[in-house]
Amino acid sequence: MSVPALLIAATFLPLVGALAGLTARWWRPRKDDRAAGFVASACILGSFGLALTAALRWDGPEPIAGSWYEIFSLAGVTLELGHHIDSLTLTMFCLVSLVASCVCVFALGYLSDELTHEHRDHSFEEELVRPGRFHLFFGYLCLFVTAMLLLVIGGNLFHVFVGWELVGACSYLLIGFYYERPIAGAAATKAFVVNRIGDAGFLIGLAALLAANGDVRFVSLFEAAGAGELSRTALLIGGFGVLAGCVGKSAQFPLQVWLPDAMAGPTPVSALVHSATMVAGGVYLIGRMTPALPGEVLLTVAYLGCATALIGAAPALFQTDLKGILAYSSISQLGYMMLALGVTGWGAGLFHLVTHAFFKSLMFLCAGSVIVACHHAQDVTKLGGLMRKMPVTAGAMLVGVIAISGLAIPGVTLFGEALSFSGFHSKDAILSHALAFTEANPAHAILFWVPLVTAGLTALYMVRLWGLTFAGTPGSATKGAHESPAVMLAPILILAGLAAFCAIGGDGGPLYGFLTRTAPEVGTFALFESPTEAAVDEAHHHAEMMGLIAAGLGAAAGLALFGPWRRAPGHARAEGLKDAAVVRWLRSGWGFDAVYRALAVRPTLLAGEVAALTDRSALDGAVHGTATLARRVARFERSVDERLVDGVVRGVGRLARGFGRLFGATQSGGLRQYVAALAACAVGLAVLAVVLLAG
Amino acid sequence: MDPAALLSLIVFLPAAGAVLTACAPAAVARWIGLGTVAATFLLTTAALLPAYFEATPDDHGMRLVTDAEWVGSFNIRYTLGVDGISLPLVVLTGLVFLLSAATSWNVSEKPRAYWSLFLLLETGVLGTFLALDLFLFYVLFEVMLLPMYFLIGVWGGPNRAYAAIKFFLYTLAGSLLLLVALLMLYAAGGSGVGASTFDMRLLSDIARGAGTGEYAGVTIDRGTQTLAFWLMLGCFLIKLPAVPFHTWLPDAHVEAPTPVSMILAGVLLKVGGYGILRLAYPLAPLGAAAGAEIVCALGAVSIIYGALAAMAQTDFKRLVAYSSVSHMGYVLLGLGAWTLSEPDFWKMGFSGAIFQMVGHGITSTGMFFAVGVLYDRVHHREINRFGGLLRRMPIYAALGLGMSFAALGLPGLCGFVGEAVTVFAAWPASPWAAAAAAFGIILTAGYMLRMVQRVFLGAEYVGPLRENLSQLSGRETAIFAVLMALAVALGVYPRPVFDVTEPAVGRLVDTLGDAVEADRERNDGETVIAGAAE
Repeated sequence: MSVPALLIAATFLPLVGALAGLTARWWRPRKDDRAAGFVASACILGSFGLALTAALRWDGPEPIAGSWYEIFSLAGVTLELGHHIDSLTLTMFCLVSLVASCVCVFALGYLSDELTHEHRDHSFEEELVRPGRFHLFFGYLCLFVTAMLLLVIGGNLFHVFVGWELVGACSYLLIGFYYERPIAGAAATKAFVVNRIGDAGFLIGLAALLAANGDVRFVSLFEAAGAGELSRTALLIGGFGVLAGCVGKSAQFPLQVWLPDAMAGPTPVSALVHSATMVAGGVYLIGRMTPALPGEVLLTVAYLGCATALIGAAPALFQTDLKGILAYSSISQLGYMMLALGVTGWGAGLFHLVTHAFFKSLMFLCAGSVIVACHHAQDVTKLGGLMRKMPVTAGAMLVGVIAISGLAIPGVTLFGEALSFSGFHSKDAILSHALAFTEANPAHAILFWVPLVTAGLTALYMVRLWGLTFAGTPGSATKGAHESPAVMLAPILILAGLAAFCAIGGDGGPLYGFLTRTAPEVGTFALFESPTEAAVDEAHHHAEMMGLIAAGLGAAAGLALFGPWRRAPGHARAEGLKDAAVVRWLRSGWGFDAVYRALAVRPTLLAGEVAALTDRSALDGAVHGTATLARRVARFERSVDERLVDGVVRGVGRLARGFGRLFGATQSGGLRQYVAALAACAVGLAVLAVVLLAG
Repeated sequence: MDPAALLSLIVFLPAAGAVLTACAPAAVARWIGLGTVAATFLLTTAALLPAYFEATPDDHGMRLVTDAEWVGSFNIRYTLGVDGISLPLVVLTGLVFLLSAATSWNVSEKPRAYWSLFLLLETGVLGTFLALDLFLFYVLFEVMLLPMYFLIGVWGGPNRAYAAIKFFLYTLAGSLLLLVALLMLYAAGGSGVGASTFDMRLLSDIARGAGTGEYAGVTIDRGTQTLAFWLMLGCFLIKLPAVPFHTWLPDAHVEAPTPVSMILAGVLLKVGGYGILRLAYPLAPLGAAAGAEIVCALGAVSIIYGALAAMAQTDFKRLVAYSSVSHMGYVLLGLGAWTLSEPDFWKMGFSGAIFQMVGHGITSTGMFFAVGVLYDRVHHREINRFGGLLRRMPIYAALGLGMSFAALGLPGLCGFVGEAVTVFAAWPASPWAAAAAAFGIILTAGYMLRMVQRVFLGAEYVGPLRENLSQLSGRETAIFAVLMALAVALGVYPRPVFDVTEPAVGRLVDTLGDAVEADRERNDGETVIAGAAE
C-alpha cells in the first residue's frame, strides 16, 4: 500500500471501533464484558501500526498531496477533501494513534466500574444509580480518533476545518460523558461555544483565502503566498482568522477558559483530548500554515503564546484539584509551543508538541490511576503519601514531573547524553529560539524572560503536585488505596518510557530530525528580523543554562515547601496564603470567567431578550396596529354604510313607499277601472306619438 | 408513460386523492391519504429522477415541459417544467410530505377534512415549484394558502385562530404584491406583434432584452423592473421569512400541529427562496442587480436576529421556529452574493442557497418532529421543564442530539455545507455580511446547546407527566432515523444536489450577468451619444 492509502486506512479504521461502541447496546446488551473496548483498542492499535508503517515507508522530503473528492467545484473555486502528507503529518499520525492506543488500553481498566447495570455515581447528594456506559465511551473515543486523524491528514484548510469541528463535537460528547452531572453538561457546552468563537474567525479567514486564491489547498496557498500573488489584506485576514481558530482550540489567551472546565470528562479523555492531541490542534495548524502567515500574525502568535504560558502557570500553583493543576499546566505548555512558532522556531514548537503529548498524557494517566485508587477523590490536599502504596504510579509521575520541568543533571551522562528527559530538550530548543529572537529584536525581550520565569513556575507547581500527592503522610482520601492493575500500568509505563527518552539527542536526535525534514524555510519579515540558525546555536548555551537554573530554583522551592518533610498531610508551609484574596483570584484562573460572564455572556443573552421583545412589541405591535387600524377603518366604513349610504337607500325606499302609497289608491282591484285606465293611457300615448312624430 | 404527462400527474395526484378522501368513509381517510402521499413520493423520486436525467433540456434549461392553452384570450397557458433549481425542492417536498403524513397517522379529529386539506396543500406546493406560467404559479401559490390556514386554524393549539389569521393575512399581503408585479410584467412584456405573455421563460428573455422572433427588441424598462423586483421580493421575503417580516412564523409554528409544522418549515418556507430565484431575479434582473446587496444584508440580519431571538425563548417549538428564521438567513445570504467579477462565486452562492434550503428542509423537519414527540407525551414544551431525556429515552435523545448538531452546522451533517458555502460565496460580494453570518455560528451553537443541555442532558426529567415518557414507537423511530440518515448522507457527500443545481444555476447566473452587462453597454452607448451631442 502506498503511504497515502496507509494513512487513509489508519484514519478510518477507528470508525469500526466507533460503530461497535455506539451500537453495543444491541449486540452486547448485558454490559458485563469489555467487547467494545477490545474492538476499539484493536482498531486504534491497528491505526498506529498503519501510521508507523507509513512513516517508515515515506521516503522523501517531498510532501504528497492528493484529492479525495470535491464538495463543490467550478473553474474558479474548489472546495474538497484531500490529504497533504509530509513529516509533520506522519509525526502527528504516529503521535495521535500511539497516545490514543495507550489511553484506550488504560481506559479498559479505568472504566471497569461502568461494566454493570447499576453504576453508582457518588457526585450527587443522593446517590445516582444508572446503567453503565462502558461501550459508549469507546465508541466516542474511536470517533474522536477518526476526527483527529481527519484533521491532521487534511490537505487543505477546508478539510482541516471539517476535522476541526468534528473533534470539537467529539470533545463535547466526551466532556459530557457523565451528562447526568450538571457540571459536565455545562462544561461541554462551554467548551463547544468558546471554541466556536475561534471557529467563526477561522471561517472568515477561510472565506478570505478562498476568495483570494480560488482554492485553499496548502500547496497552492503556499505557492501563491510565496510568489506574492495573494493580496496583503487576504493574507492578513486569512492569517488572523486561522489564528483565531487556533486560539480557541489550543486554549490560548483570551479563550483559555474552557479547558479547566473540560476536566469534567473522564480522566482518559483529559489525557488524550484535552492535553495531548486535540488541544495541540491549534499549534499544529499554525505550524502547518507558517509559510502563508505574515509577520504580524507570527508576532501575535508569539505574544499570545507568551502571555498564555504565564496565565496558565500562575493558577496551576494554587489549584487543589489534581486534574486542575494538569489542565492549567497544559494551557501554559501550549503557550510555549505557540511562542516558539511565533519566534520562527518552527521545529522547536512542534518538537515540544510531541514531547508534551507524551509526558502530559503520562501524567494524566497517573492521575487517573490515583483517582481510581482513591475512589474518585482528586483533591490534592486530601491525598498524600501514596508513594508507598502506588510505587509504579509514583515513579511514572516523577518521570513526567522531571520531563515537564525541563530538569537535567548536567555533567552526568547516560549513553553519551546529559542525563535529561524529553521536556528538557524541547523546552531548551524553545528558549534558545526565544533568546536568539530577542537578541535579534531587542524590543521584544519580554518574549524570552516570561517563558524563562514560567519555566521556574512550572517546576514549582509540578513538584508541588507530586509532593502533595505522593510524599508526606497519607491523606484522608488514601485509605485502602493500592496500585492499579496491569492493564492500567502497562500504558503508563510505555508513556513513561516515551516521555523520558523520545527526544533523545535533542535537536540533533532522530525525532527532531524526522519532524523537521519538511520544515518550512524561515521567512524574512519587515516587522522583525528572523534569527539565523547560527544565532540560535549560539543562544543555545546560554538558554540551556538559564533554563536549568530557573527550573532548578523552581524545583528547589517546591521541594522546600511541599517536600516529604512537610508537617502534616495536605498542610504545606505556604498554608497561610491559602485564602488570601490574590490566591483565590489566581486559583479561579484570574477571574476570566466572571469577566466574560459580565462582558460577553450576559450582554448576548440580554440582546436575545431585546430581540424577542422587539418581536413582541415593535414588530407585532406594528402588525397589530395595522390590524387595529384596519378594524377602525372598517368600523368607520360600516357607520358610513349604515348612516350615509343606507340612509340614502332608505330615503330612496321611503320615497318609493310614499309614491307607492300615493298610487296605492289606484290599485283598487276593480277590472273596469283598470281597463279604463289602460284605455286612457293608450289614448294618451297615441296622442303623444302623433304629436311627436308629426313635430 | 409519456414523460411530459409525468409532471401533471405529480401535481394533480394529491388533488385527486383529496377528492377521494373527502368522499370516502372517515375510517379509511388516513389510508388513502398516506397512500396518495407515498405514491406521489415514488413519482417524485423513482419516476421523476430517471426521466429528468434522460430528458434533454430546452433552450431555457427546462425539462419535461408540458404546455397547453388554458385561457386563450389572455394568453395564459398551462405550462409545467422542471430544472435543476426546482428538482431538489420537488424531491424534498415529496419526502417531507411523506414523513409528515406518517407523523399525522394518529390525527383523530375530522380525519377526512384533515387529509383532504393535507393533500390539497401538497398539490399547491408541488405545482408552485413546477409551474412555468406566471398566472398558473400565482394560482397554485394561492392554493397553498387556504389549506394551511385551515390546518392551523382547525387542528392547531389553543391560540390557533390568531396564528392562522396572522399567517393568512401576512401571506395574502405578500401575494397581492406578487399579483401587482405579475400584471406589471405582463403589461410590459408585450409588443406590437407579440402578445403579452405570462410565460416565465419568455419574460426572462424579454427582461434582459434577448427576446427572439416576435419579441425581438422588446424590453422591460429599468423603472418597471425595479418596482417589480421589490414587489416580488417583498412577497418572497414574507414567505421565507426574513427579518422584519417574520413574526407570523413563530406564532404559526407554535400553534400548528406537529406534521403541519414539519411541512411549514420543511417545504413552505422554501417557496420564498425558490420564488426569488425563479421569479424575482430572472424577470427583473436590472432591479435585482441594484437590490442584491440589500438581499445579502437582510440575510445577515436574519441570521443574527433570529439566533438572538431564539436564545431568549423558553418554548422549545418557538426556539426551533426562530432557528428557522436564522437558518433561512443563509439562503438569503447566498442569494444576495452577486459578484459580477467572480461569476463562479456567484454561482456558488445560488447553489449554496439551494443546498441550504434542502439541508434546512431536513433539519427543521427533524427538529419539529423532535418537539412533537415530546409534546405528544407530556403536553408541554417548556425547555426548562425537561431534562434527563438521554437517560429516559436514549434512542430519541441520541437522534435529537444528532439533529441538533446537524442544525447547528456540524461538518459531516447537512447543515454545515449550506452555511459554509453561502458564507464563502458572500465574502467577495459583501465581506461584512459574510463576517456577520460567520459570527452567527457562535450564537447558533449557543442556543442549540443550551437547549440540548436543558432538554437531553441532566440527571432527571423535571416536568409533569413523567410516566408518559415512553420510548419511541417503531413508526417514530423510522421517521426520525430517515431524516438523520439523510442529514448524514448529504453532509458527507453533497455532490448529488450540487450536480443537479450547477447547470441550472450556471445558466441563470450567465443570463443575469448578460442582462447587467447589456444594460451597462446601453448606458455607456447613451452616454457616448449624449457626449457626442454636446
